[in-house]
Amino acid sequence: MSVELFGVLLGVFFTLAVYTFLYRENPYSRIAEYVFIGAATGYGIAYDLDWLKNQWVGTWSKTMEDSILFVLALLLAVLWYFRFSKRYFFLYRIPLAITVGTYIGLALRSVVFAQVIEQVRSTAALKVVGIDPWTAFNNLVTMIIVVCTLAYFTFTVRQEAAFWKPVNKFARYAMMIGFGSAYGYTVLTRMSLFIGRVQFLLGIPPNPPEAKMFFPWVALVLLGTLLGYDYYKKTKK
Amino acid sequence: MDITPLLSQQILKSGRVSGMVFLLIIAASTAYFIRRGKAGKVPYLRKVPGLDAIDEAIGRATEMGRPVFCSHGIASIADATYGPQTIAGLSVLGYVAQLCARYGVRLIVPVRQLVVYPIAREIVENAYRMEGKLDQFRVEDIVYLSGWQFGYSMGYMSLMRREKAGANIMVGGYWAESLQLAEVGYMVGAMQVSGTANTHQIPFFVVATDYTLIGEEIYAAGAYLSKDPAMIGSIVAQDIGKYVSIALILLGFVLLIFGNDYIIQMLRW
Repeated sequence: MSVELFGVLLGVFFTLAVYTFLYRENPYSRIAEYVFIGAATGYGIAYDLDWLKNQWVGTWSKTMEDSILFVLALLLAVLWYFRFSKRYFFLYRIPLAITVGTYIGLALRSVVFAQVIEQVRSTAALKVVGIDPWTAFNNLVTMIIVVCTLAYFTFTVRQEAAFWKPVNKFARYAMMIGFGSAYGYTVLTRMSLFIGRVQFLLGIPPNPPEAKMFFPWVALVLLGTLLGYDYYKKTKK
Repeated sequence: MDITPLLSQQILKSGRVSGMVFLLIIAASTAYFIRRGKAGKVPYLRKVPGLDAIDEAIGRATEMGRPVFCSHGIASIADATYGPQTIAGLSVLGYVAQLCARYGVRLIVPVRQLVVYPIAREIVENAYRMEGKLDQFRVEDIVYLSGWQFGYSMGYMSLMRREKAGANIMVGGYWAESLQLAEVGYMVGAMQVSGTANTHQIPFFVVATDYTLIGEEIYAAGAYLSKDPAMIGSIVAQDIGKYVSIALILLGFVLLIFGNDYIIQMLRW
């Protein structure tokens, strides 16, 4: 059996082994789990080392200044591991502070503009006069939804006044409608992923056609052993 | 050098001024309320309804003699955008660990981020110490699963099935694994309390778990449970930001009805 063919067989086995989890937690799904976690960890380490090497070779080894900066960055990275030392614990805070600070600085601008200013401006700019009635109604509803939902997420006021009840109720309904549509959309995406796996098992191009040959046999072995073992355990009791 | 054209063309039309003003309001409010909180004047913070469900879930798991699972999402604590969700999740973890130690129920904490692992471990250990039950703390129950999203998800699901989770509390940043975890929690009969600020994942939690903290409720929950003045101060500042936003929207909307777009233009500065 060629390496490619063995790869396809493994692909079929692991796909079905993962799906056996739907029946119950079993040795096949556990093998798939451990292999997946192990492979992911190994792949992650190899990928990071390769990335580091490429950064050094491609960019940072060109001049002396760049090389010094690269070494400094590496030293900074090493400080992360002082999280495990009780004595030098404080050193771990340096890279943490730099990372968090840098990302917050970068994110602040985009977050304030994209998630606040732009949203407020777009909502305030919704027109209800001088346009067709349906668009006006749609705009009015959108504006009320935004305001009520914002009010719903305030936590430092005692929401005891009478007007809070309808505001919160309206906000909850509006959010649930939004969540419903998002749920439907995402489930469809997940279905397409599932269809992709089924196409692989059935060997539909561009997937390797050999998968179709392995699929029934592997499925038979997995199902047979799982159901057989459960039946054996049941009759033994 | 005459900078007027530069100001008018590049800065006054870019939205940077309004963004900066808004940012200053939030930053100043945060600093002010943190200082005020540290001085002992902690502002009022209303309790989020889903929080009572955490007590209920742990109580139920205790009665059933099954372990409690508590996770804080998959985001790194160093991530500026999603890190706060992890911090909120870790605050909830502290509370959950304290209750678990009090009731003598086993607590399992699946972790994805290596950086978060020691923090989670310390939080749980501290909670057991505070309850005077350090001997019951099991370091092997703070489980580092995988740095890879679906490796973590697969490990979490299997762990829930193997250990027959009695309660599953998930508060933090979750992505595509949210439905997988919630579904398996449901399959094993665990009572589930969830919460995330990732809007595209909230629907899954709403559908598949018993109680859901929606969006920013997780930050309020974290602040409420931790009683940390810094966290409560930042929640107050966020609220001020919301009031300013509501005021600008309503004012801009009403003015536009009368043909005045001053607020909209002002937000373009």
